[in-house]
Parts: sequence; C-alpha cells; structure tokens
Amino acid sequence: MWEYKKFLEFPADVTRKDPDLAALIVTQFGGPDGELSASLRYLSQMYTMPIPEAKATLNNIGTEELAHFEIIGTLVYKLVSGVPADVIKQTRFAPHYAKWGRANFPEDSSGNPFMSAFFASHEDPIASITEDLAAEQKARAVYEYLLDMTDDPAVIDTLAFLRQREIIHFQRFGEILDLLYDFQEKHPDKYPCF
Amino acid sequence: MPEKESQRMPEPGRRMRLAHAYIPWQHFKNSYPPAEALRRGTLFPELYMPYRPGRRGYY
Amino acid sequence: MTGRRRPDNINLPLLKDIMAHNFVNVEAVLFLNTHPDSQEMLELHNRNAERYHRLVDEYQKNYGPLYSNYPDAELPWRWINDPWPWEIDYRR
Repeated sequence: MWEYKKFLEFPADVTRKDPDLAALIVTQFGGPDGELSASLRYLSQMYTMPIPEAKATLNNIGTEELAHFEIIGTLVYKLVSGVPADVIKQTRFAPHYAKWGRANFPEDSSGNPFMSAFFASHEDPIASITEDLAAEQKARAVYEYLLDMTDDPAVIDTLAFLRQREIIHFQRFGEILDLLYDFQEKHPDKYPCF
Repeated sequence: MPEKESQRMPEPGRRMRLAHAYIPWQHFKNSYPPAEALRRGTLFPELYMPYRPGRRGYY
Repeated sequence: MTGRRRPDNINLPLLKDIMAHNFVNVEAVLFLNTHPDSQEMLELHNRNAERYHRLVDEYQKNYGPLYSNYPDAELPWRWINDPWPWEIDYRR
C-alpha cells in the first residue's frame, strides 16, 4: 500500500506567474512521457517480474514517479494560481481554462487527456525493462525541451532535478537488465523462448 | 574520476552477446552531503550529468 | 469551520533538511535494490535513516504532522492544516 508524506520530494517553486509555461509543463503531468505515465507503467509491470531485484526496483521507481507527478502538479498550480481570467485569456493556458479553470488535469501540452495506451506492460521482462530504458530517455529529452522554453531560475532548478532523476533510473534499469540476463542463463527452463 | 567511471564497460569477463543491451555497473565510491544531493538530483558524483543548453542528448 | 483554521507555522530550514535526508534514502534504496551486498551503502542507509527519523520527530512535535499516523496526535486534528506541500514558498 502507499502512505503519503506531507512534503515534496524536491522544493518545487516558480519565481513568477506564467500561464504560458504552465500549458507546456503540463505535458509532464499527463502526456505520453510524463510522470503519471511513468508511474503507472512501472507499478503495472512489477507483478510478473521473475527476480526480486526487478520487483523492488519497479516498485520504488514507480513510487518515486508519483512524487514527481506531485512536483509537476505543484509547478503548474503555482504558475497559474491567482492569475485573473482576463490575463489567462491572452495565453496558451486559455483552452485549459475554458475546460477546467485553474484545476490540474492530466493532459499533454496540446490538451489531449492522459491514456494508458502511452505505455506497455509485458510478461516478457526483457521487453518491459527495455521499454523502461526508452521511457527514461524520452522523459529526459522532454525535460531538455522544456528547459529550452524558460528562463525562470526556480523552474529550471526543478526541471533539472527531474531530468537528473531520469538518468539515475536509466542506470538502475540497465543494472536490472543485466541481472535478468544472468537469471535467463541460470534458468533456461523458465525461458523456453530463448 | 567520474568520466572514467562512466566510460567503463560492463564487468570484465562479462559474456556479451550480439543484439543485447548492456549498461556498465555502478560501483559506490563516495556521495554528496544530503542538501547537495537533493539540489543536484543525485547522491552520486559519478552519475551527476547536467544538461548543457545547446548540447541536447549529450550527458 | 475548517476555513477558519489557522495554518501551521512551518519551519522551512528543518523541513528542507528532512527533504534532503528523505532524498538520500530514495537514492540509497535504489542502489541497494541492485547491489544488495553493498556494506558501505547499507551503513550510509542506516546512518541516514536514523537522522531522518530524529528530524521528523522534532518536526512533528513542534510544527505539525508529516505522517497521518503520528502517534502523539491531539485535538483539534492537525493533519488537515494548511499549508499543504504545493502551497509552500520554498525560495526563502
């Protein structure tokens, strides 16, 4: 089960209101390579992993991604909270406001709602962990696109933190892949297809 | 030396096969103090690879 | 009536120290999951966890609960108090 700690993983902040930037960053809240997608991917894949290291790693990284979902939610919330409607009207955030007001909704930067078709969950552990390595790279790339879109130093600190986490997760999934190869060699009976 | 570590190949003697992906294993050496680790987004100096604008994908 | 509750006074430096030690735990756990025989990392993990729990105890005694199962909870129930994590200005 999960238990909430009443603090953020990282002190996410902004130095000024910026609804235009909120409309872009929301893609890491509910877009294809976003944090919700990452979390549900890993927390779906963990059940059928053949080795304990893989179950633990997917459980812990899936949990951390939920904390990142909260960090992105915090950025979007802070970028738009208290901004008057007639200011929002002039920004890229206006279509979101027309549907949801200033509430957070998991969607990409074009307003497409979140869907689980963004990720896969295979019984074949090599297929899943290789997908996870790709997912970490795609998320790293998106954080670099977003870093190119802002000069707000507090937002940059937060996005740079999340980007660095993708690199750590990639390293851990790479180590899991190696452990899976070892497991396959020792248990060829469990892998008739190899 | 962080750069050397990041370029090291998988374990010596590791049987490497075609059409398989391999990532070098990390060996723990030292760590940042807690506040600095949080600021950088990692506990490990050898894995700290910040984005340099204009150098996307190179880390 | 809840709207009239006064927000908790937070201790930002202590809260940031807790966040830092929580983060060291996140990193140590991920490392140990793929290196379950690392004596050095185990020692770092245990040392950090002890410090984390001492800081959390100090915070919860003086500034408000960080866990809803805080064992010395009192009335009025403080878990619901503002500020929530997304409402705090961390730039000070």
